[in-house]
Amino acid sequence: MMHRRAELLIYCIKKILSFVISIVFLSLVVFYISRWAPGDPLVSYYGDRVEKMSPEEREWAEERLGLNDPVYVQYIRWAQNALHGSFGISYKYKTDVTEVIGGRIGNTLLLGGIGFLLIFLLAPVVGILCVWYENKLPDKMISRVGTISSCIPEFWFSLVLILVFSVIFKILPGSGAYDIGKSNDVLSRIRHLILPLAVVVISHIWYYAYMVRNKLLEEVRADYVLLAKAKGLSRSRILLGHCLRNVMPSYISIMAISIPHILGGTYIVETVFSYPGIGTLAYESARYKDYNLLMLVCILSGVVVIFCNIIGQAINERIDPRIKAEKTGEALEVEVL
Amino acid sequence: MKDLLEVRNLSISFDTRRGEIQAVRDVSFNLHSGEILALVGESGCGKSVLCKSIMKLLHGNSRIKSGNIIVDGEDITGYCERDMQKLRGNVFSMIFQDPMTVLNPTITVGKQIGEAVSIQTGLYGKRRASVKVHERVIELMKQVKIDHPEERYFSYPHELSGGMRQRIVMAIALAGNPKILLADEPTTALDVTIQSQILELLKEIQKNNKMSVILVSHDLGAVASVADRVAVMYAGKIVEIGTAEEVYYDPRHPYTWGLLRSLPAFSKGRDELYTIPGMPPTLINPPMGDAFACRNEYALEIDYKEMPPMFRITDTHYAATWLLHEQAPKIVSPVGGMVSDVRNSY
Repeated sequence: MMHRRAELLIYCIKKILSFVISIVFLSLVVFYISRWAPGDPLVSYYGDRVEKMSPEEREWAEERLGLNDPVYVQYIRWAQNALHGSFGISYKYKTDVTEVIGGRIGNTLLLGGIGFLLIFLLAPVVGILCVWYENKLPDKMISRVGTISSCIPEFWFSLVLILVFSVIFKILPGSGAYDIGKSNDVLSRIRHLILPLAVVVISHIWYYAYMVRNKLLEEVRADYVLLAKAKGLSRSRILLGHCLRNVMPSYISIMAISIPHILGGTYIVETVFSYPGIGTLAYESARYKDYNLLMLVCILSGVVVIFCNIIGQAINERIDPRIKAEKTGEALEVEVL
Repeated sequence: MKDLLEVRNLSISFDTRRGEIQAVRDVSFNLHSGEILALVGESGCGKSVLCKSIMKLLHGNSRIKSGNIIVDGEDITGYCERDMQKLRGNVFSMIFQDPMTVLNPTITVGKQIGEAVSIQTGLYGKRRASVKVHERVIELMKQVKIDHPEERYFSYPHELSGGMRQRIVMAIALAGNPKILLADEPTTALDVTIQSQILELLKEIQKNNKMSVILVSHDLGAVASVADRVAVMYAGKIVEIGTAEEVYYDPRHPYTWGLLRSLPAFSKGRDELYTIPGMPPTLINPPMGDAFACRNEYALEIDYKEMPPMFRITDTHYAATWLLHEQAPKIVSPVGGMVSDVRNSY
């Protein structure tokens, strides 16, 4: 018992260590790349006035924002502040970056969360449909359409949807998260979510549905299906009660890893739909050199990605029956007839 | 005796990219009620395919080319999946070669038996059925001689030994009190001591439940003690069929001789075990004439040209070899007097 607990502790420490190292590395890379990239951060703070500034004024402004020190000094200063919970102000919004992000994160969670949920629930349905009609017309159709839909770039697909539904037919809004002044109107929010959600779901779902399909096809050919058939179970009961059940654990672990994948998708979609979320912030801050904001957005996204990967891995290791069998190995074969 | 199952001129083929594989060719036999019929032959001779085809458990690329399967007077050859579903489990049931892979690894064995029970008793998904189902599961587990069934109920397949798993599979097969049990090499994956236990159990259950059993095996010796009748298969055909006494004491087909001579008991005191020379033919283009001819030291010229019909020896004993033709030379079986030895040794 003690042995297993110590093992678990070491396991956790390892995971946390790799998590911290990854985040530090990420922050370094983003920090340096953003400073080296061309562009003037003063524009995002002072706007057009920068053009009329004298060299002395510029120097003073840079001094004020702490931009004239060597990059490593800047990084150390930033890291020290960050460790104390202060991530600086946004050059563009002139407020604390946490406030800026706090105002937007809800929108992203709404879009990403609902998108993820829809994909999570619909992918098995699509996969099961394919397996039920294996190699018949519905399976072939879904597979073809799925392959195409997962290959279409999200930004292009978004633009097409905006063109069709917002410009030509004018049934759905093509930008924003709500009508102006109606941020608490649920209906308005839903209407604004439909198109971005459609893009997120359609462009991601086949990847997971295809995985479910292939895993299920493997299961359907397993020997236990023969016995289940021989005892008189119907095809649907075998498929749902036996095969799907065996596929679910690995599906769940893959879905945990998929969160960052889907999150990345929402960023692009947000930008195209000018949806006020983290994605648009990330794009803006990178474009206008809003360093502090960019750092926090990147680190937040990084935390989510790495965290989900670790969780997915952990689930995977937990549920793999072979590992389970190894752990209960002592209990095995005790009763031999 | 009434025939529970009648297979008439059954041919089964698999369509593959390399061509049509004729796995079962023109097979006919009857299964009487309350008997154990052993189906013996080497790997790939079509025993399993024959068994699975009776329950229509074969995969999509197989088809029944010709012939009929008649169960209890009813021709089920053309039955669709839905009709078969009603028959499976209560008219016939099946146990398989590898008890590890046929059990779902993620469901407790009690639940897997319970599933069969509830589907057979029409209690599936009904409320308040669980107590009845549970009782019946425990009863079945006792019937197949599993110790501590209440504890074993919650075991997963990987927590049980091979013999125990095969007992679970048997319990599942027995859930609907089937009239016919198809046992597809039930002991092949088990070690020798467990083999005989499982066969004895099978025999006992067959007697108590008054079932008919088709016992598939590649081991003529292993089935000797339990079979009432024996059918020997070669290259998709039944080459000899008769009561166990007839086949063991008075075998007529050269292939049966070869199988009997291959038993270790016959090579006692010798350096090497006897093997039948050569390989079984591929069933993509089975040879014309007798498929066994090229491995048969007693082959006649006609064996290469024309397929031998079933010659009647007694009312219950038939063999497909030209040696039984009245014009054929009389050959004495090379395994004549030693056979009793074999039966007793099992």
